[in-house]
Amino acid sequence: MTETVRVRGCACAFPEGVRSLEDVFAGEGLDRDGANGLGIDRVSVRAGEKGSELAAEAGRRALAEAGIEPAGLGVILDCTTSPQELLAPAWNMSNKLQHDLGAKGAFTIGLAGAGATGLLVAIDFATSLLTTDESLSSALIVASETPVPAHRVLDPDDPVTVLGDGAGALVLSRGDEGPEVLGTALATEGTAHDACYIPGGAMKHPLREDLYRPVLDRPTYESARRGARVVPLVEQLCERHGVDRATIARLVVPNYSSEADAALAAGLELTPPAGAADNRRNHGHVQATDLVLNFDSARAESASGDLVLLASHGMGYAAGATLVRC
Amino acid sequence: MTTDGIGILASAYYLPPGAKTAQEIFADEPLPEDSILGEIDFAKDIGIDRVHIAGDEQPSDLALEAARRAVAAAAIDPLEIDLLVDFTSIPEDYLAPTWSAAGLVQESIGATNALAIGVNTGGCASFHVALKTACAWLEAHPEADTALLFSGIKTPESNHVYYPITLSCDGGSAYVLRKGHGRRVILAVETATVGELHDIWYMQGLANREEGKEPADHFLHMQADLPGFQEKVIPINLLMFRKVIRGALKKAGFKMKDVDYYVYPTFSSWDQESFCRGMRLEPDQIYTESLARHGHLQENDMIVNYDDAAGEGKIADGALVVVTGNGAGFTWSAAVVRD
Repeated sequence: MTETVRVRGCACAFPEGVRSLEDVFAGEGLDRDGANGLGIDRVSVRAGEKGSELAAEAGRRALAEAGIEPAGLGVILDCTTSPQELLAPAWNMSNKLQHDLGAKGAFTIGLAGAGATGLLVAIDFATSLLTTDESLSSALIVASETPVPAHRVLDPDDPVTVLGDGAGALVLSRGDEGPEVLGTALATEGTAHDACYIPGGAMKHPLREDLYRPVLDRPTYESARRGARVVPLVEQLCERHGVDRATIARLVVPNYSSEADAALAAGLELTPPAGAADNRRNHGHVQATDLVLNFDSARAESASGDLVLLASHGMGYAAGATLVRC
Repeated sequence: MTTDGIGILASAYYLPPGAKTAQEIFADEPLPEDSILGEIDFAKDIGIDRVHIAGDEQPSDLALEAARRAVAAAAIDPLEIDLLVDFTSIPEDYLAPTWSAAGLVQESIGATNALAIGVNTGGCASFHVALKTACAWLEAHPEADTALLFSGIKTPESNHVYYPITLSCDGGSAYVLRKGHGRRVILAVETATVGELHDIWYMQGLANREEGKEPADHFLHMQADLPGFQEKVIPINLLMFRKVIRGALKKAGFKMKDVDYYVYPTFSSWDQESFCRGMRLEPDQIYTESLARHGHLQENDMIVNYDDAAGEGKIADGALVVVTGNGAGFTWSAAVVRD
């Protein structure tokens, strides 16, 4: 099979609640000065909505744009990073989503351990499935982030970002319509598997509620090559697809902080969409959903034929790049 | 999906040395007073003599030992591994999906070139979902040819009884997929999910407990909606098995009558009898011998039973083997393998 895979739908769903950065820092007993340089003014917060409800809403919107009935989906991939409404991996949101959407023909996949880069892993896996199995014509990729309440500031001693709630969804399908997924390059650094993780609530510390929060291990985090690992992946991707990096029109990266995002963009010598800064300011870091949100901004600013690069580094430690032609 | 040309180069499993007899398990974990099994006596009829217990080993330790054994059996350099998949289906060392043991195993065995990721679907069907995904990825990536898939199961304390199904056993399994390997070739994988049943078997989790409740072990225990299981899962169980088995065979160009051997999960004596009856299998067409030895290893049953059946000479060279299972989610799956 040599059909191309296209992005047919792209949508996000955010809860209506909002908390200012001042409120978030004050609520966690932190000095507001620590937020300087993050480029985040507020984050979206749930008021009782479940992660699966946000995921279903984002999924419905993406499917509506794609003009694809849920019953026509072949596979649902969940690349959520946050703890889910029941304990993973024994429970996976993708199964509930299959039911809530009425996607009776879809089998389900849950991914773990890749942070925001999980979206690019999901794109790579979905593309692989769609191009090798003729019985599958479309895939839904979803992430729904519901960070541990009262622990939204990642590394309170030296904040690297602030986590917000929200869901993002992409519909991919074989065919001729929509931005074309050219390819994905991925890499993980197992030496930094515990750079950022939640220690409590699983088998090592089952009852440690005090450890039920994201912990950033600073030395390990610093040792992971992060943005530097993305550059060779982009070069690999460009070479594989005969693309001159200078012709890439837009760069889509996760919304970590204005400093981190600018550094990644500078390292790649590419420009984020104009809407990305506002996305980060208004929602904070919503893991894989950032990439959906910023891709939505990028495609709105792109002309037909423009190349958009999605690039990420995240927990795992996973780095990745996906090239899309609008 | 037909995946010509990807075979299982090697496989291995690890059972921790610690063990408890079934009687000891039942003494520690009382059964419900009201049986829903009719004439079947869960404790007497289950057919499981003992289960292995991990003790101080973490899930990742079990996974890592199995992974090392599989890599050694495959006689490959870990640097050759392009994809490393963790298909563990119950909680690991740290909280999922934020963390997966894939990165830890990558670091420990030195699979520096691999993409390391956790892939699951909730429950034992993670084996087939990971297999299907890995085969598709290898097929779609001409530059890649080797994948290592692993799982490490450690049952939370006092949660070995999965009434009315089985007793959970600790252990790990792993296998190496390689393009062009001509043995145990994966011909097709079929998987079907009924998402309405997503919360029939589940673990609640520490953070999802009711307000005012203190942290306690049972929030990591497998819970069952027993009426839902009886009313919604059991009536369709064999039907779904037939659906995915026939679907996989059709994709591979075969029919049920062509199947030489079945590899099936290790649940209980009555479940094995029911499956054999429902699928009209002769006793020598399916591996059931492991039931007494160790009970249910979740998704690891697939590799453990395949390896044991092969080791005991029950699978002839070139046999057509169906590896099938089901799991919480609820997902039913089947893989057709040419041995």
